[in-house]
Amino acid sequence: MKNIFLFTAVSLLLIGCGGGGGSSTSNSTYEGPMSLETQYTMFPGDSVNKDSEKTSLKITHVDGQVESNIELVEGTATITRKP
Amino acid sequence: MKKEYNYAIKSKLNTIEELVQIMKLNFKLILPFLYLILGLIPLNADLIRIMPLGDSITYDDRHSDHEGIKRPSSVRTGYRSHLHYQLADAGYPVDFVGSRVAGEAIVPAFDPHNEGHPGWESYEIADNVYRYLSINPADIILLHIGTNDYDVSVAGVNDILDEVDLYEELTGRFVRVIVALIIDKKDQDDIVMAGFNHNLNNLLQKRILNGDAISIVDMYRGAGMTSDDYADNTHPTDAGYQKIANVWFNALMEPYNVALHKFPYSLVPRSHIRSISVDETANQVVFITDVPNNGITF
Repeated sequence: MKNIFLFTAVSLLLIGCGGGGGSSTSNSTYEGPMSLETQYTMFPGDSVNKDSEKTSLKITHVDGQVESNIELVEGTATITRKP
Repeated sequence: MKKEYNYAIKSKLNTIEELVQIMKLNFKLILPFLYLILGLIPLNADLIRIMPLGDSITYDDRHSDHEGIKRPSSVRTGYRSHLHYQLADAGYPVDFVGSRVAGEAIVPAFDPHNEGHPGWESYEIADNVYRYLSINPADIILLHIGTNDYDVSVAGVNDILDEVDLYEELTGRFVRVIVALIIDKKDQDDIVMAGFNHNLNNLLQKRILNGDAISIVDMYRGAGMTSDDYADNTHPTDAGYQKIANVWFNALMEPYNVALHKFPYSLVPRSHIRSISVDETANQVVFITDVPNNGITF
């Protein structure tokens, strides 16, 4: 009985820790229109095209890595992955 | 031997440069290619090419050099010799580049090439910097200019930096510019110099936020110059030049990741970039850019 209680408590704790934070998770395979306040990971060959005249991105790149993270700052844009 | 060969090449360049000036043709676009075709650009992949750019404080020209006994140019070194020795001692042999030569008789020998033009104002440097870079490509420019402007306006420095940007855009080369807030006059209380440096700092901060690859060094108060460090009202003594060299040296030793600074320009044209920020450890770049009509391909 004691073990069941402990197992349940630990399970609940792990489930609680695992949830949330979805909007800030990098998306490395998503293809399509970008959403604001969402990070996407871009690899060499991937591209972004704007769907509205005034569109800007925030791009973060770490030295030595091939990928970059992007975030839509304003406007609308679509991600296309390398074929 | 290799160095002597380089000097010989550069003296040839000086002659060609004079011919170009006489012809008064605008070679802005074709000069780099012309020199490349002639095989006269000393491309040495092993050494970092540094262009000391400025006026008499770069060349080493004192008021006394125009009265009575003049020092020959071969013994005028300014901060350049001190900096060259410091970099070599730290394990960074460098190639100083420029169309002018001063200090070649000094022992121990150092690279005497520079673009120090005594008496010149910032506007005159702006009119020529593209040509200087075309003839002697540089990885880094050390810019100390404005003393002869004697004005609080920094428009001439802005023009110099615009010309460097134009050179980078048209040639695809990357040039890091380290700009000095310039040294004060001997009495250390000159209002015009204070105003110039204030405006210069504002200009540079603004350009950095807009993504320009500029570093600022503070010679104005950061070099620790005192009135004893001046040979006249404007020009440093050798001890003063040592202090200036220390500031350049420290700036050159700070982490600076060229590949990271170049990264934004590899994705989008310079004109689309709104801001660039590289972290203190030079490990990450964050930039905001407008998306061009043809998109961005990573």
